[in-house]
Amino acid sequence: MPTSFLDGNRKHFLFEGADLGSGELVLTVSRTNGSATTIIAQTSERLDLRDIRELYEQAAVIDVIQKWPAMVQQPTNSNFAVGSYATASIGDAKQIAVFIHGWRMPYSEHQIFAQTMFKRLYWQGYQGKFAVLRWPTRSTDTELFPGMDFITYNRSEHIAFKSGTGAAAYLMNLRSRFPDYVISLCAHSMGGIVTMQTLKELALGGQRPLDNVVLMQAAVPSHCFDPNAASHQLFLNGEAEFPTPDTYRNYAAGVTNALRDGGKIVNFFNPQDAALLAWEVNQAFRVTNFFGYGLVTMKANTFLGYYTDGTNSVLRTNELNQTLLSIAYGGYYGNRPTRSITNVIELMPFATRPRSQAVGQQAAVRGQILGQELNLEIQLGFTGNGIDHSGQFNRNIQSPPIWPFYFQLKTNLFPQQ
Amino acid sequence: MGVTRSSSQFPWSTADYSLGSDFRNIFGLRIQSVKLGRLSPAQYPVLQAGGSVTTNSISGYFPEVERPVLETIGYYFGRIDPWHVQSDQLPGHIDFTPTNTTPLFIGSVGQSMEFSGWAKQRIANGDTNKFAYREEYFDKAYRLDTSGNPANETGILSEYGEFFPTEPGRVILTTKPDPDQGGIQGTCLVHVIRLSLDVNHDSLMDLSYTGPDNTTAARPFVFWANSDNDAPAGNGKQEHDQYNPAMPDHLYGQVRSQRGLEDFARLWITGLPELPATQGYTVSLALYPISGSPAINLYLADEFDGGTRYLTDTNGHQHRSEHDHKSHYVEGYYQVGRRIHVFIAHKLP
Repeated sequence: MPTSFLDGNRKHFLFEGADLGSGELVLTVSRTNGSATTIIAQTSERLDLRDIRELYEQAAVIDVIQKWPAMVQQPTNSNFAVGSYATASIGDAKQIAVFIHGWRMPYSEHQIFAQTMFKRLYWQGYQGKFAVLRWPTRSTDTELFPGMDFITYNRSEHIAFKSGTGAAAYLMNLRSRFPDYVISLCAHSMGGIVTMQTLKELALGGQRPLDNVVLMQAAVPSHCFDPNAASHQLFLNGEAEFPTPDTYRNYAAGVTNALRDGGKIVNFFNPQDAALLAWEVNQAFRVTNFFGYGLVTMKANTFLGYYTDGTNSVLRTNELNQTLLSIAYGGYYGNRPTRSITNVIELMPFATRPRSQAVGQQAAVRGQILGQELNLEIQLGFTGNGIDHSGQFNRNIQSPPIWPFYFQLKTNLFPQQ
Repeated sequence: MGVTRSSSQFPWSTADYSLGSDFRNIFGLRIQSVKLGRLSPAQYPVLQAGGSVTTNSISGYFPEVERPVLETIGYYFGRIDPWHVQSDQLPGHIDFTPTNTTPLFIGSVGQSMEFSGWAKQRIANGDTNKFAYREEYFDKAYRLDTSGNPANETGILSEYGEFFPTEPGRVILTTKPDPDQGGIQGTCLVHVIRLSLDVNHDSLMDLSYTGPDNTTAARPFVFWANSDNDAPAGNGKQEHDQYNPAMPDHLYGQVRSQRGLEDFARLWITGLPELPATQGYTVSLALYPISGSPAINLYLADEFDGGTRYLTDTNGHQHRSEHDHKSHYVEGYYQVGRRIHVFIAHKLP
């Protein structure tokens, strides 16, 4: 504590908003002489303290079935709904950053991630608008018991594919509302699947609402974007033992056609990403004899009744998907006729295995990405610790990689003209 | 005026009039001569210093005083209130005395002030305890650097003393050079204050009036209330943002975690001079609502330069040593926060 506050030196404060509203913060210098007090000088600034949710737009993909097997049996077209529009602005730049989250995000955590990104872009001097697009991943919000959200990956990937239509519609809506803005999107982890599908559908429809895309630790096989990306031996080993269709390869062909002139896709990847190493385990999982049931894989999802020989894929009733356990895993399938699986967005999550690592852990992915990348490990110091799959959200803002991360994110979303 | 008359009879009777050789007026200026006014016939004999005249019917005296030699020994400045409510006493005012000294001037960025400047002049050839005050035209305004030297021109200053500050700090207003006094200029020190916010959140505090960090009614500083819950490390967990809307961080009245610092913004008070409390000075902050019920918790920042290391450096708070475990991030005085809210002015510190 200074011996005299009014010592002639500049005074520095930090403040936090403690209630909502706008007002005038007034500094008054006065002097009391006897009983008379005279105002010597006053200066003021205007404050507008908001609920942070008023500072960005919240939209959600809707009309996606979250339960299996209904999700794969009922053809639906997802849509979107804007839950709330921003009612105040943090700047006047004609830019919009759209954030798409990853797998297993309950509503509360999705809010925390979105707000964390918003704040950190704000501190980078970002002057544009921010929007978060929620998609209906399975999470603790949807599961009966804690921990069951961890076994929802494949179903959530299917939901991610299904969310593409709604996400595309939302982006077109944004473009119609902000025709002269730079609109860029960043997606985290499985949000990369949503993004890929969104871009694919936009490109197929000849629509180009976006400018740039940043994939962050994307849980999307590299072969989707670059059919010539390096293959991963772990998966090749699996294929040798239990072949699956090579459906992911080149799936994202042409997605850059959904970007406006000069737009690009940039890959923020971490070769040590723990979650994406776990992703590999899920993709490669196979057990030669599961309690006497023979070869079981999670990918293909034998528990759910998916089988493939690499050429033909089917969904059929089995001993596993008619037990109560199957309800916990996905849903009770019942005694149904065997169905041939040809829809790629059912094949990929449930029946096929990638041949490459995920984009989010692989360098030098070209094709639609053209090698535009940021190595989060080498260049920023992300680690193989589990928190670093979402390090940009989990780490404190003061942590050394975070400031440069968001600088890079802002710079890649909105390159200087 | 030093004229003596030899006869005390009627004014119209003939008498000898004489003037001392070194008689001085109230200002100490020597009376060089006196012209005497005679009515009939109309004549104006001149009485020189040290001389005498014989005449009659004198009805008037018209002294010629030595021309004063004025030497500027200082300047006096006063502030003029256009509404004449709080103007300083200026030369010519009934309450003004030559012992008056220039008061402390504090203005604020963007608010016009009006000054009156006077050269205080000694009568070199007269009574040196009596002074002349000559009002001056103003010339330029300069911001002073940390050493007190003029750095660059600042603000807008008219010849008539109207000054519009455009940046905080110490500013001198100079009067026009006086060619009769070797070109000397008076300097009026003005302390220009302002509150500063990083309105465009680019990490730079632009202090200028026209810069990007100014607020207006149409462009306020938009910031979020600290309504998340950044939990401190514990129970095997690192600091983390947890969903707990019932207990937003701002209710704690302290910085609970390093993570939570991203919910804090900087506020500077710049340009305040030393204001001894013993002289009755106080500084206060108040937040007057325009809509809603805005409130802030205010903490004295730990960083000596008011920088952004609280956002960028895990060790940004460790350059001081006197903190206890709860005040790592802000200086002790405001450790528990100080809620600045509706209409209530909080005296600082």
